[in-house]
Amino acid sequence: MSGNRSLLLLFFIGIPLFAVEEEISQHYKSGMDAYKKGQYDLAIQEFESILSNNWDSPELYYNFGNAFFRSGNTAGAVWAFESCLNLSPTHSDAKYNLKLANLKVIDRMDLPDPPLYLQWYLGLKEQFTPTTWINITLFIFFLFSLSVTVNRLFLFSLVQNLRGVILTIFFMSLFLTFHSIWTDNSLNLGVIYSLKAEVRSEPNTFSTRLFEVHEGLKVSINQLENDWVEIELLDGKTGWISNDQIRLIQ
Amino acid sequence: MIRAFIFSLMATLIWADESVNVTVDRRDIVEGESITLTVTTNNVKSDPELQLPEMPDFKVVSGPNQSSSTNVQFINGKMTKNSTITLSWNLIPKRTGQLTIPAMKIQAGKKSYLSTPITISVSKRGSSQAGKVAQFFIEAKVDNNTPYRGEQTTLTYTLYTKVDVTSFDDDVPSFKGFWTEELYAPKNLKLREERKNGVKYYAATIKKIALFPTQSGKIIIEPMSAVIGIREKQQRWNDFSLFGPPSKKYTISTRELSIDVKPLPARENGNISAIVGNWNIKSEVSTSRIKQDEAITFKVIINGTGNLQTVDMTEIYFPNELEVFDPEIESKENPLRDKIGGEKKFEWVLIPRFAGDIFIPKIQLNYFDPKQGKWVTKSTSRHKLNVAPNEKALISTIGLSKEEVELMGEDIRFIDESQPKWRNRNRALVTGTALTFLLLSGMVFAFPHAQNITKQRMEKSSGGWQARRALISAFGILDSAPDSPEEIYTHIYRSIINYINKKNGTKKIEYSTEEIIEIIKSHDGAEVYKEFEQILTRGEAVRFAPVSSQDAQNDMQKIKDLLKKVDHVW
Repeated sequence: MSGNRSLLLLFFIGIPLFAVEEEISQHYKSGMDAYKKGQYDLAIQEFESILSNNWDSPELYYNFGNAFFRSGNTAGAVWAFESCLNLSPTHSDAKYNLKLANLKVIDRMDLPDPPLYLQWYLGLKEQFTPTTWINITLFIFFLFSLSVTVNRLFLFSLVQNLRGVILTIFFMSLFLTFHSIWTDNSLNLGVIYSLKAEVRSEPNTFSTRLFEVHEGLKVSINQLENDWVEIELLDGKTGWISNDQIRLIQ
Repeated sequence: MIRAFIFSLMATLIWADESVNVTVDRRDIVEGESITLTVTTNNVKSDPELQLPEMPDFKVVSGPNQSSSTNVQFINGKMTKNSTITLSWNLIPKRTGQLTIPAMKIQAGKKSYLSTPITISVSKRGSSQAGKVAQFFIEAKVDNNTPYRGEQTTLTYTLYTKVDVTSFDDDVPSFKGFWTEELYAPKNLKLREERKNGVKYYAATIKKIALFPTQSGKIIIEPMSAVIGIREKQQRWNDFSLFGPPSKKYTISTRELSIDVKPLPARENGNISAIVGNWNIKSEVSTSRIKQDEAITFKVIINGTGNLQTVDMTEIYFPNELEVFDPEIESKENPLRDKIGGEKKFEWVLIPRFAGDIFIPKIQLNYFDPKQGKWVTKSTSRHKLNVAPNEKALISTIGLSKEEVELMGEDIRFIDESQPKWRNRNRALVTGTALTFLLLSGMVFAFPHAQNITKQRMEKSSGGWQARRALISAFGILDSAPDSPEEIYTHIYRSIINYINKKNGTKKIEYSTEEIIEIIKSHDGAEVYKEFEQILTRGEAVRFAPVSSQDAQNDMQKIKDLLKKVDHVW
């Protein structure tokens, strides 16, 4: 009887999930077909409707970026490729296409390369998303717990030596996880979405106009106030723009 | 005297009888002419209450117009008072034939009246049945009764008259289901001679309207009504008016028109649009030899006949090498104004950002040609731009990294066609996988501890049972002792060892008297160990110094009491 009930419960939970997945798959397919036919605006429309249903994937953002690029929307392309890399930091095609999209961005801002050890460390950290880092760390912790238990039960000297190595890797992974989560939560990024945006000293239209930014520029977001966003450029310049001129990287 | 006169006047004041009449001014009319429906109440003190019945064959053009009058007459010293309230409506028949104004329920004062239905004979204009020639009428005509959706059909309203018209005030219906544009609407009517149904009339075009159906299927154009002022003939020689002969106003209307709109057919290749008509497209660039980062203009010109509003070219994809600015759009309507159409010009400013040959692709215009009854695709020619490198641009690329310079001129990689792994955007940072690893780790860590605890518990539970049975077991040994004193002391010794083993969970066979005393001491609250020591010492000495059987029995009893005492605190 209880078995039947569980099956029924699974059925009722499962049916809407399948229906949602089918709906987004349909939008995705329509978007892909539209892209292949050169109807890039239609493709963008279909992909947007998937996002509005709160579903995404690295593949979606990548193809979304291509559709934006083809339709001449540089800001959209940069935003989509950045979002793709946020979910899948090792997506090589997205990295390549993002470089091409960035060539069209008017505002160019590059910081000097960090030292080699920092590059290596940041490269390692950005290999995975915070969620993947949590999974990796907990897997290492599981290995460590196994080694401790086996050692306690069977007193293998080999396991005893291995335990130290696993513990070291665990702490390294834990550090990277915390850093990754901290970066993800504290550093909100966005892309300038209007052709030209005037950056002001205060969140209102009467304040002093500080400088201008153009579409496609990636900026950090410090804070939000009503309809205004405080942005920070790579070179440290800060100011306020209207929130309809920026799109948050997912 | 005066009072007597007033009294006599009041006494002779007579109200005429109440009556209600429903009349029409004419019962025999020609289509397009109006009739006046009048409800008259006589000597009813309050206003009549009535609602016009549903009249599917008539259109109410105006009304109700209310008027009232009171008439007092003295006849043979009797005063008669007549009061009349009149309500009137102007009605226009929607079709020809015998039409009926249904019976009306009229509430006049406290009484209610029911009128009889009135039949109106509406004859077709120009028919012999009419027996008379219409003096004036208006007519609506469309040049195409079966247009395609989006195709122009021109609606013309014409006034025909044989008499002098002093004023003309039209009421154009709302054209539901059409996009409209007025083609012709003169301020003063221009009359021309025209024969209609064999009769000579003066005709004037009142309005010309271009209609573009926005839906397919049957669409009804409601009749247009107009109030026309007609100069009346002077009846008598002294009917002189400073403003000329008086004119009378009539309400007339056109017939209802029905348009059957054909849907646009499907096209095999699917290249369709909302554009209908006959169009041409051409494009031009200001110059084809330019320098990088210099602006050029690119124009697409579309001209022809049809609804210019539907012509749109803003969704054009230019090569990525070009920076494209929003187009300027300029529309010029067709000056001939007979067929709506004209020219629409789209002008883009393009800036080539890369040197080399850049091609502006052909631009296609898909439209439906109603004359040919098929879809047509026309396209512009392809333009080749020869872009020379700009030295300034080369300098600007210095800001680019070596890798970025190499990327210039490259194209993006193709779309990813693999099946996406969908992810809910509202999902938590910690996933089920992470929680599983955490749970497994906890379980693995806890395993040895759990094992130990289980083992201890098992041991403890079995030891406890043994300990609880220690006294009984010891008493059993004592009770099974034979009568010989030596045997009794041996059983006393064995019972003590058995008691200690069971209590401690040990299985030791031999204990020295000192060991036994030490153990008893550690659990003795009542200091009974000394008595234990005495009995055990006597037991050791029994072989050398014989003890009476009675003493041995006493010692056995004593040991039982001592064990009870010890067991009480152990």
